[in-house]
Amino acid sequence: MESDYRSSRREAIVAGIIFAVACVWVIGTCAVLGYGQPVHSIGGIPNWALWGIFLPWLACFAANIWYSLIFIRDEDEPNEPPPAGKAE
Amino acid sequence: MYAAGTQVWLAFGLYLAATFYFAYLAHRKTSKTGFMEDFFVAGRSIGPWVLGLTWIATAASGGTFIGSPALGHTYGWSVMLWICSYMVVATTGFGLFGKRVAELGARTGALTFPDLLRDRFDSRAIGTVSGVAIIILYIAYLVAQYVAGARVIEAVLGVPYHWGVLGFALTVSLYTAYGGFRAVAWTDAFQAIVMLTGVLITVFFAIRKLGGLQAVYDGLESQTPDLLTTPGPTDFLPIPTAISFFCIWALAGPAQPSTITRFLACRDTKALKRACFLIGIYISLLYPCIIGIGIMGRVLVPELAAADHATPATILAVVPPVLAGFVLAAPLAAIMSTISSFLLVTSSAIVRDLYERNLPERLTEKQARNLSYLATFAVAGVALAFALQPPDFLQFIVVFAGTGLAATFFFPTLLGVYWPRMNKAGCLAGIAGGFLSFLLQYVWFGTRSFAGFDPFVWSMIVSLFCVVAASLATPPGAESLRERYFPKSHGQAARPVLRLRAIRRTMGSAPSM
Repeated sequence: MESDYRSSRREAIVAGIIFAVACVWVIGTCAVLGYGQPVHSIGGIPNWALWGIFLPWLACFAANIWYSLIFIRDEDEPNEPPPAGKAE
Repeated sequence: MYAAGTQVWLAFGLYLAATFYFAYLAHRKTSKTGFMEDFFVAGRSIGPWVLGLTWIATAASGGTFIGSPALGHTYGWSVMLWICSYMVVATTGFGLFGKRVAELGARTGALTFPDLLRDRFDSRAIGTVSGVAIIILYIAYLVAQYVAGARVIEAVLGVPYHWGVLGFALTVSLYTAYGGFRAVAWTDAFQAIVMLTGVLITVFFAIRKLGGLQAVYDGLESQTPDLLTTPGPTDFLPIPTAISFFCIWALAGPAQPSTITRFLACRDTKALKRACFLIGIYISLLYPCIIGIGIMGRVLVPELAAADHATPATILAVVPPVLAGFVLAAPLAAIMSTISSFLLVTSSAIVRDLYERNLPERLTEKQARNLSYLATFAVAGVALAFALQPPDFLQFIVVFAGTGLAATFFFPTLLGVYWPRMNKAGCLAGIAGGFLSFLLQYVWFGTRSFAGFDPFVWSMIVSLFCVVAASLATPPGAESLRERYFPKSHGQAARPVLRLRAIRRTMGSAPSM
């Protein structure tokens, strides 16, 4: 069975990949659509911000739901079982 | 001063009363672990809601609620790009450090961030160096938070600055010393709810008053079109700076000793997963709205006495008076939650890392209790003394505490917990390389170093290189350490250690030294 260490390492690598993809998407889109380009409004939001910030934000939000609830392995034994009725 | 109505005073009073009530509840709920484990990591019993909210409340400081909207007011939409890497902070924070740090904390009995590094490399020097760095830099950061809090109270309530600083220092240190980590975590959770509620109420009333986002867009365009695009007025955010800040918010925040300590208090993996999920939602609501307050404030209140007044001025311009007091508690909540966390991290560095771990014998329960209280009040007193007359070099130390500390410790910590080949020499080289690189760049170039990047980015690269080069150039660490930290599978090392810890608990003894 995979050790805690190996599963944590695998999860850390995927977190790093999500960070890198978000960075490239955000900076790339904003560099192309912002920075000296004519700006126009889409529903009151500048176009570069909509495609370069809010859309990737939505994608990262979805990625975080998948990552936290599905991808992170739930270890079979808690670090320490809390005393009965003591969970906060 | 913008307002000082009775309702505002009343709301502040209620907010403080609620904070103390949560601290009282936390104090009553003590676990069966030893004092130190209970005071500094709440007996490792923190569940998902409190874990998530204390994590974000610690990360969101006075700068988040006062400084960021001020930037939004001054530089418009480009600040949204400046802050936007918060979109991945929950994933990077919990994914890179969360589960692994929680596991190691349970396995080794680590109570503090320096404990973690010291035990991993079996090095007293590493524990002492990181403890001293935390004490110096976090006291400086505390001073900055006191100053920010007193300024908010001065602007909104008209309380003289010195009384505001005194009130802040006394209030927060009282509940921190009274309830320890559990009180800090519970009040943080309450304060995080206050923060988000306050921000959402303000945004709702601001959009309603302005008549929608298109009206905000048109209002900014009529003032100056630079407010709508990047890099913003006066070349605020060139591309290298945008890349730098994408790395800073997503990596520096989660690598702070104060945020990593949160994971040591985590109950189990399930709590961690849920906290990560909750924080993803919380951050996605909070940060765009905080910058939105500054941007809408530019249209609502274009002229301010100081840019730092953007948050209180916008709140008072749009929120009905009956709600304004509660909403104005949001920035105070952000500041107080950060202060309490830093106070505890600093006092734990004194008691645990510099004192107890250098003694031949463990402290008794009574000694640990008295020393912890004393250290908490002493740290608050030192920060108070500096805050009454902030030194000229404070800003530099604050910048270092914010990003330099992460540049110094990010890779030594990350590779320390994931790379079996890393050794003591690599850790010390990474700390020294990151620290010196950041210091020299900041002194010589300020906030824009080579190619326009922030010193943080280059310091991270230097630190990474130092860790890898020094580790490979020197013999690997002891085999026993590697087996303890990097077991190949379940049943070889991890589980027996967890069982031992449970046995130790049952017998009432303290974590391993």
